[in-house]
Amino acid sequence: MKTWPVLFFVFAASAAASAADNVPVPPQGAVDFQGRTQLVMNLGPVDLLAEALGRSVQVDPALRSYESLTLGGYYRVMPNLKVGAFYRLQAGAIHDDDWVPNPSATPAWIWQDTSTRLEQVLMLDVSPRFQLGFLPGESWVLMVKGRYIYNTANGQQSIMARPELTWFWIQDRVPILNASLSYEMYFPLNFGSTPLYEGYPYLDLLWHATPDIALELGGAYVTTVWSASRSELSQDGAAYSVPASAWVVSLGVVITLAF
Amino acid sequence: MDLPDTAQTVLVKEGLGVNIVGGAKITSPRRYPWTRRLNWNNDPAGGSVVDTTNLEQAYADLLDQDYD
Repeated sequence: MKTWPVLFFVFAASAAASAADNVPVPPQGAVDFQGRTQLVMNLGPVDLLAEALGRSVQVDPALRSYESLTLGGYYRVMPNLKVGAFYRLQAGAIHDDDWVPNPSATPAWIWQDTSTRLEQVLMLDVSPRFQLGFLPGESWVLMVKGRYIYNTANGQQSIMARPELTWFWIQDRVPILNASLSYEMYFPLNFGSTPLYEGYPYLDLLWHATPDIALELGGAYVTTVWSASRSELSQDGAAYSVPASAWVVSLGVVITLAF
Repeated sequence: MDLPDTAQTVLVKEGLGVNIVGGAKITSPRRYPWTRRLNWNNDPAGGSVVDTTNLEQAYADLLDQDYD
């Protein structure tokens, strides 16, 4: 009679170990570094943008990176409203479905290498903005950016929303510094198991070193929710959602050309 | 146009501009987006010689700033 509790314990321990193998464990205390260079061409009501970006990515002990090249522009429909369209070519992006069984068995599941996988992303953007003249200094702008994102590689669609408050330090009619505080949110439309896929507060400082060149320093605490991959669900794996958080420190150069 | 007498002189090269702060102090010449667009040849064949720039907006149109 005493063998039943022992057998039950073995079965339960085995099931727990199996479930743990299937669920990715986010790294603790991750800090990622990002660098970007952006070229802005101001053509009256039209701004053309080109951005090259690179960032380290920590989802496991391996050293990973993400790179992207974004091209597009904004059109100023009216003083308080801009619309935009962008094309992005990216490599190294990691999606839920990149959590796959390990061909070499140990560990049982891994994040597959996506460093050479190219993806094309299309984006449509609308960004109303308002100057808050009632705040001290009057140089405050509240912008609410909304962006539709379509990844042509996997068909994933999402909506990004970002309320952003910016203070402009202007001295003798010359811009010196912009300080922005924002909260960026990504809402998946056809993937994931939670309403919010990714969200983060973001503090950004932009120093206008010269009339054409600005240097950027930013920091964000990014939380991404990992959901069960297609491979797991096809193997009768249980659905789950795992929040993975990391600090991201960003340095950038913004070059503005006016015509 | 009446300019304030600051008792200061400064040489402004083509493409640059200065700011007369409070009507009393002249800043060092630097490039501004609007000074680059001026018709520096004063040649009507090269475009209008009349500058209609709204300086208040040219310096600080805070609603026209996008960095990503």
